[in-house]
Amino acid sequence: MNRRLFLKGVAGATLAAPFLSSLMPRAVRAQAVAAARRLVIFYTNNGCLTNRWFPKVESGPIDAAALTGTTLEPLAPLAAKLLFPRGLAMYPKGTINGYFDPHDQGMGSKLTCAPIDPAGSHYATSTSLDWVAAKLVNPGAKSPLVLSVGSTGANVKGIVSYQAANTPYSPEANPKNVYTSLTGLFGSGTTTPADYKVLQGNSVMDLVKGDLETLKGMNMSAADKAKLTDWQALLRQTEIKITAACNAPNAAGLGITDATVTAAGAGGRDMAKAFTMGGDMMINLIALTMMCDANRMIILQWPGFATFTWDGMAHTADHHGTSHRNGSVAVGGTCAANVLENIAQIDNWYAGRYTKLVNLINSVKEGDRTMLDNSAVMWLPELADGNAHNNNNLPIVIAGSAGGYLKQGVSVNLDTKTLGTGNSEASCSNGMTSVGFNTGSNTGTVPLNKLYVTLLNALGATNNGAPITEFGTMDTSDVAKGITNPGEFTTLKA
Amino acid sequence: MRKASVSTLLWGGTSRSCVMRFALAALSVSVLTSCGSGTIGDTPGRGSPGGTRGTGTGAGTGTGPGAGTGPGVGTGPGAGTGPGAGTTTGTGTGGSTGAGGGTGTGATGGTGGTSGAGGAGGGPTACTQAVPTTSQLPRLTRAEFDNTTRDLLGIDVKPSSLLAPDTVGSVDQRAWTGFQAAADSLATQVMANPTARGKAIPCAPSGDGVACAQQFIQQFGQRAFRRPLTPAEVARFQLLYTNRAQITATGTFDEAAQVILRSFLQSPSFLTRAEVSEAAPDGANFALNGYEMATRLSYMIWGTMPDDILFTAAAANKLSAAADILAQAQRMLKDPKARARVAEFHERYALMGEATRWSEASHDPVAFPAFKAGMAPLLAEEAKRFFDYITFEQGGTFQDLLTKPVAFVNKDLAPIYGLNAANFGADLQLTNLDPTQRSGVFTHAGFLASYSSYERSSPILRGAFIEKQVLCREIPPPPADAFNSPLPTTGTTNREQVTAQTSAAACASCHSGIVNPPGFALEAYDSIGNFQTKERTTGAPIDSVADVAIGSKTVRVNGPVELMAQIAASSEGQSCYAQRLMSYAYERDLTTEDTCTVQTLAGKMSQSGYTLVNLITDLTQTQAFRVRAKVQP
Repeated sequence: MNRRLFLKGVAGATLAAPFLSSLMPRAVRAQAVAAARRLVIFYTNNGCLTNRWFPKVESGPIDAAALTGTTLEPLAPLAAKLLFPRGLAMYPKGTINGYFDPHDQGMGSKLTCAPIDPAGSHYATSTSLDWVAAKLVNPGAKSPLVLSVGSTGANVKGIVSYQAANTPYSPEANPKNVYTSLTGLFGSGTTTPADYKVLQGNSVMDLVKGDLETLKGMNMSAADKAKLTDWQALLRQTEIKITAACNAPNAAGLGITDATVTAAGAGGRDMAKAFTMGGDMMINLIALTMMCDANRMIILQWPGFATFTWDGMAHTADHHGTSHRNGSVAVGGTCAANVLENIAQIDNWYAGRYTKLVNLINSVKEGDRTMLDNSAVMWLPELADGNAHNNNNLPIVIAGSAGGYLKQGVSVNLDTKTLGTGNSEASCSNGMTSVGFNTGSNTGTVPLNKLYVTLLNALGATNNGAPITEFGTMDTSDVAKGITNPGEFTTLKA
Repeated sequence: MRKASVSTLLWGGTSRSCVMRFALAALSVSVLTSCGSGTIGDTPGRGSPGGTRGTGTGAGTGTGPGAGTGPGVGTGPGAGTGPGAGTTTGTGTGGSTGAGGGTGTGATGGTGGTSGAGGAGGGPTACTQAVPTTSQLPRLTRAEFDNTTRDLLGIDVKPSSLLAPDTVGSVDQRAWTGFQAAADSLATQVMANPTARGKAIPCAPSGDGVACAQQFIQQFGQRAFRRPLTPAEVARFQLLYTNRAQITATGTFDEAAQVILRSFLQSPSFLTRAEVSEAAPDGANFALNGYEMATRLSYMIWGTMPDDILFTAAAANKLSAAADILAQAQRMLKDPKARARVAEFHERYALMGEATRWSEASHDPVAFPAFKAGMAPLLAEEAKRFFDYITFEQGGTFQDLLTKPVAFVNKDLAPIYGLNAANFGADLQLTNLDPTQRSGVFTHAGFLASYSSYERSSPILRGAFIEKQVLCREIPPPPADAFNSPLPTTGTTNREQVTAQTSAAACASCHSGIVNPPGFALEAYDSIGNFQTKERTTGAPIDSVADVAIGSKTVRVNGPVELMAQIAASSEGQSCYAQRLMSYAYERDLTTEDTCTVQTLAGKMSQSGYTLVNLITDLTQTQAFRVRAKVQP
């Protein structure tokens, strides 16, 4: 027997030996299959009342009592699974390359850690965390799943995800599309991938590929050719795969059926329906996406210009104007009636959505853990305080340890001095006039980049096998300095 | 700043100084100042090749006979052939002087270029229309996808709710998921609807159904791809039918047909309007073939696929002569589909639509009881009715859009116009307004209420809109600390407060001369569009006299009616509208190569009786519309 045939024989035997896997305990096997680690980002706009949001403990263990009376009180039962990375700031900040709009910057720079373009549409000048992570940890380097509610567009004020510099990635706002892309993955328990649906999907893809190939044979500009090449690459990413938990009964268990998805997307331009029914369905679909392992990098963003007129709220000014304390696009001036309570209502409502998301993910078992234990579910804000428009001393919470990588049940002050909880109620407490800018916290200046480096490593991403050490293009106020403080936060690691 | 359009309006530019700066827009605007009486010197000055012996400096004399004042610039290379190198770029100045020159400096014995021809003389159409290179793969927009599937399938279900926002780059995962979901949904709906199924499938299958499947693929495919399918394409689709037993649940004809429909609707040849014909090469350009021209026409005028008449004309090659194209355009503009398309343009012209100031307008309910929550759709509808009325019912002009003292009013809007609500019902009705108070669409409640703050009018938002959106002026972003300039409490009126707020030198360079004045003229209207002579909060008299910048001129107006008359009559306002319409119609950004085309169209707009319908029709007669530029290597 020649060597080549021998090796082939060994390989064949290994692949064909079903008894090998049966030697492993059942739970371990499930764990091995479900070891995917995910990052889910829950993104809200216009800041919050920071002094009500932060836990009572700045540095040290977090228990239910530390959350009592705060915006995050609904999370108290899960306190042992929370991590508060305290003292972080977003760089770039303020005027960069001659341009500044705090909202454009909060959106465009938050996940890119790069300046926004001073010209044109003010898009970010680098790739965002979700795309970097998706490329490194998603099977087939599949694009991240970026979701929103209501209507979406390509305006910089609605975009957090950047596929590349100056290449915004609009969020998906229709639950039906998320659902449709998952139903193609549904197995019915005993059905194998070789059923007719998979064959049909592949046949249609072959036809599309043939059409693209025909077009590529025509004379056209390099830019047009690149569009066809990109389209072809996209088709190659579409790899049909089924995991055990991904099926219609489990979807129905989450309240996801054809009918409920259709109803949830029917709100259209009705913001109240989009935020409530649509938002709930998006949360359910995130859980299902994770169960199907259809994406390991997910963002849920909430539009910032909605007027909260649901769940007992009857605001007359939109969230943005409310966050300015005066109901208006301008900053400063007369405080609107009950404005702090209105902001608190919004903050509490979002805390409720975040809690629902975390609880749902925590309710799904994966081996001897829950899906939350294998994930990091982070609430990330556009701004710290919506009136000060500051982006330091950021209120951030992460639920889940990403497979045991992150500490749990603790608040870690990453800075060298006491942080405090900001000054969100410094004005407007007694009617009066809002000061606007410069009322923000002046503490908490550790670069956010390092948190993203930590999270990328937690997800199992590597730089050709080596740990990730850098993210973004700048981590001080000076764009020319680039990254000055590489590495992850070892104090956040379990 | 949360409103989508605020960023476009206030923080959009790039330069730090507020000198007059125009991009393409401006190029044509400045050229236009001479339009009608002057000359456009876009003919290159031609520096003659230098001789072998020269003085080292050759000065050319322009020979352009133009009598106008257009600032055209011609550049012509000349070549010195002496031992020294001659640099001989000729600069021709079009217009009255027509002076062009080639100067060449040769070291020894090199010679200068000699004569540079100046700009060509002539009237406003003297320029030569250029054809920029454009994408050959324009993708269906969301609106076009809705319209096309409606006309192709006979079911009007607005599948764009499944699609990603319109972008021009590569198809990304989000967009592709949307296209796939829409194709899936539409194919299912067609097969469940006997009428739609009958429209798509032109035969009843018999035997193995292969013959009917082929007929279906060829006939439906020709309409889906907007051209006949090649034999290879037919075979590709036929393969789906051949494999029906493996790729469907039970292998019936209808199951296979549904897969075929789904495949057509997500094919790149359906989703993009590919222009690949290389017929009749003419120097820098290719002619479009009949099907490509039918497609350009139908998407430009209707925003949807060609109808049977266009397909017939395409098949008979009756879409190459300008007169044939014109006749089709005139026919097509009488179809209601054209009105929907023009309505969408005007929505963009006024920056209306979802996630804009229009959709998010909100006002203090105590101070402004006439402004009701949920009024935004009514205000948008009012504006849409007005645009449609002027364009199609009145056969109106650009000037009419900005000056007609009429509006569509119902009982909710009547109080804002000072009219008795009791005389109106729920439906909008055409109503004459006081011509001393109202003049065209930007004096209506919709624009005024949208371009205001929650509790007060905003001269800055309104003024920036007029200058940037209506006059196509580029305004650089404000200095970084502009965010830290709250409205001062000193000063009596809103105007005085805004003046004080923007009085610092860094602000005033743009605000005092450009941004604020049109907004001050519009102070004749309060936060929701009520005409006001006294300020609600202070009782102080309204001062709506302002020195407004229109292009490079400053014009004093006594209020909004004069402001609108000045804009309507200005070459800047006309050119700006022409550019925005052309960009929308051709679905691309304009380039400097479009300058002559814009200028030609805008020149016509200054002539009385030149209607908006004339303008749209003329968009099918330009060189840029009729041919496709060869790809530059």
